[in-house]
Amino acid sequence: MTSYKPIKLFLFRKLREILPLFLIIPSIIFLTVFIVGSLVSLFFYVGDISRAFVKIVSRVDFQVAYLRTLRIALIVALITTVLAYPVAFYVLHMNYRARQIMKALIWLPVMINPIVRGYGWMIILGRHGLVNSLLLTLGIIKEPIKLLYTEVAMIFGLTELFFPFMFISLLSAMENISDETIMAAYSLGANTFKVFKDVVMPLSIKGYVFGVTIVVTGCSTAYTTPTLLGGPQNATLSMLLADYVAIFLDWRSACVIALIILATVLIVSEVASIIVKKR
Amino acid sequence: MQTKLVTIIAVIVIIVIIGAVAFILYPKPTPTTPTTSPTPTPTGAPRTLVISHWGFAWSKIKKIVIEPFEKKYNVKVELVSGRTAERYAKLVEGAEPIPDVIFLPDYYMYRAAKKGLLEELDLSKIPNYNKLYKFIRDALSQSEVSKYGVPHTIQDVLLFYRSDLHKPVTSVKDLWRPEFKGYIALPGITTTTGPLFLVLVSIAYGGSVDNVEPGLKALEQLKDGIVTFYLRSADLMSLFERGEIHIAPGLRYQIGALQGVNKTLGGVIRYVIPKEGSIFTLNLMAIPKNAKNKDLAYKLIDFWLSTEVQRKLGEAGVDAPINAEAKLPPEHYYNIEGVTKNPIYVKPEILASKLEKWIDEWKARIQA
Repeated sequence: MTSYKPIKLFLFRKLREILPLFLIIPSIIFLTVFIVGSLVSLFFYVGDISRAFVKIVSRVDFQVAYLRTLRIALIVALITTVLAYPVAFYVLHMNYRARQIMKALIWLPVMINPIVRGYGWMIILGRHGLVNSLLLTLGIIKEPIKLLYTEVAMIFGLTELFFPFMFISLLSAMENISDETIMAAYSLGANTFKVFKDVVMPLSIKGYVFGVTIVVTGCSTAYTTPTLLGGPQNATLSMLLADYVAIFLDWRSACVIALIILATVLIVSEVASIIVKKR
Repeated sequence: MQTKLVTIIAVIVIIVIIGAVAFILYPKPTPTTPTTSPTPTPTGAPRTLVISHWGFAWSKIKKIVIEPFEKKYNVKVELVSGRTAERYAKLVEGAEPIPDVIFLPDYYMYRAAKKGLLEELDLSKIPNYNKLYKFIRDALSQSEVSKYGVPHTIQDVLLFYRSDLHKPVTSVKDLWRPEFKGYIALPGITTTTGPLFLVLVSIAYGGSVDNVEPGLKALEQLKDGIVTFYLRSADLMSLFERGEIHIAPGLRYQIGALQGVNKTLGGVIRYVIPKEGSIFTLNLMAIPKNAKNKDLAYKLIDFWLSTEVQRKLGEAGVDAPINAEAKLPPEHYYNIEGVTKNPIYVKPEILASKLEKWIDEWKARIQA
């Protein structure tokens, strides 16, 4: 190193400053061209969407689908919260090896195609499915109840679909809390519940907001699972969008719906983070 | 730090601007000028004929139609496959390769014809056309699309039901029998079957091909008994297989799809032509205006309608033959003799003017 002349060192320093810029350029290009660019090009392709916007928003089937999508997304977010927080907290207390195994087990379903999982739920929730047979044998019900092709089935399927995402984002946030903090809380006499409520939860709230954003985004854009488990009578925004793209060939309306989904998801995640910041 | 941020933002802005400009300047696909005379090719080098088809059962079609045709006329056939809406969109955009023969349901063909995308056909170049069932030729001639497309198969609405659990079904009104409550699947209104079924119910309850109000009223009564609305044949199959449904209206080609399930269930799914009549639609072949090999396209269309090809396609379970000479044995599900008794054609003009309203009404009153 000492053999470098000052001029060379100067050049290296310049390079050190410039190099990172070059390294991030590919990702910037990717983001702008394919994501921002495609959004921008959408407007050039479909032209003025204001009239299509009014038309779509005033349609009853859109309003119903919008409320249904939002309702299901929020319910699923709530259920995954209730389910994932304790599980993540429990896994956090495991040793390293057990924790890795648990992570792998919980993450495993994500690697299975949603279509397969959708059909799995159809078998479980169907008229002659697991749930109905069980309830019938136990004598709780006299006739099979309708579970499949309802919103309940959609909520089941989506909860299963997005639980791992919520779990992972919570766990990573919790893992960032230093062990000393938690130990300090215990040594000062807090019980597990108090540690969870006063230490872990506030410190993992950022991961939680991230998880909620993923779940709400995922539920609002999911197509396969709601179609298989809810059917056209429980149409969500993605199903409506698919109709406009593939059946009516009405790009303008499809574009309007896509933008509305995007706006809704942005608003929900923004609201979630505002609530968190206030606390 | 500040300069870096500014540089990054500047790069983003520049890329967005370049992207936007590129999109504005991007040449819109323009239809290529139609070649008036087919380019003469030296013997030996086969010409290429592009056909746009669903691609279902293509291996069978290839064996029955394409290979003999290729041999006979020294052509190489190229397939552009895809779903109806997809291929229709491609036709409208003028996407390459431009098909020489396109296969679409009559309603889409009508829309393409209205946009001026199709060649007006010279039926004298399709001698086999006269072999088609008379009721089909008569039905099609009511529509303007008859100038641009010739049918290659028919789809009529049937009722599928579990014959082991229920008394024979004869009428579409049997859907309202209390025993079927909670065991019914209907086609989604956005499928091909949906509007045809709506017409069928309307006729049963005193309406007509273009007055579906009685049908919608009747279906409102049925609403609570419907398990779900299916969008694809596979859904229908799976619903029967899982015992979710005992009855569903469907199209004739779906019998083929149901065969596998029927085998596992022991042949208990029967199909019946409703006594109200056979509501049908036609799948058409046509030549796009800017096709490059119109002479060969005519030859393929005629070949497709020939008695032998039609019969073989029927026997193989690909398409129901509409060539009256291509008779299938009476027990074959693609034998359409039963349809000739009371055929009711829903011509594309009706769908073009009413479908949007029907979809809205159906979504608001039945599928909600």
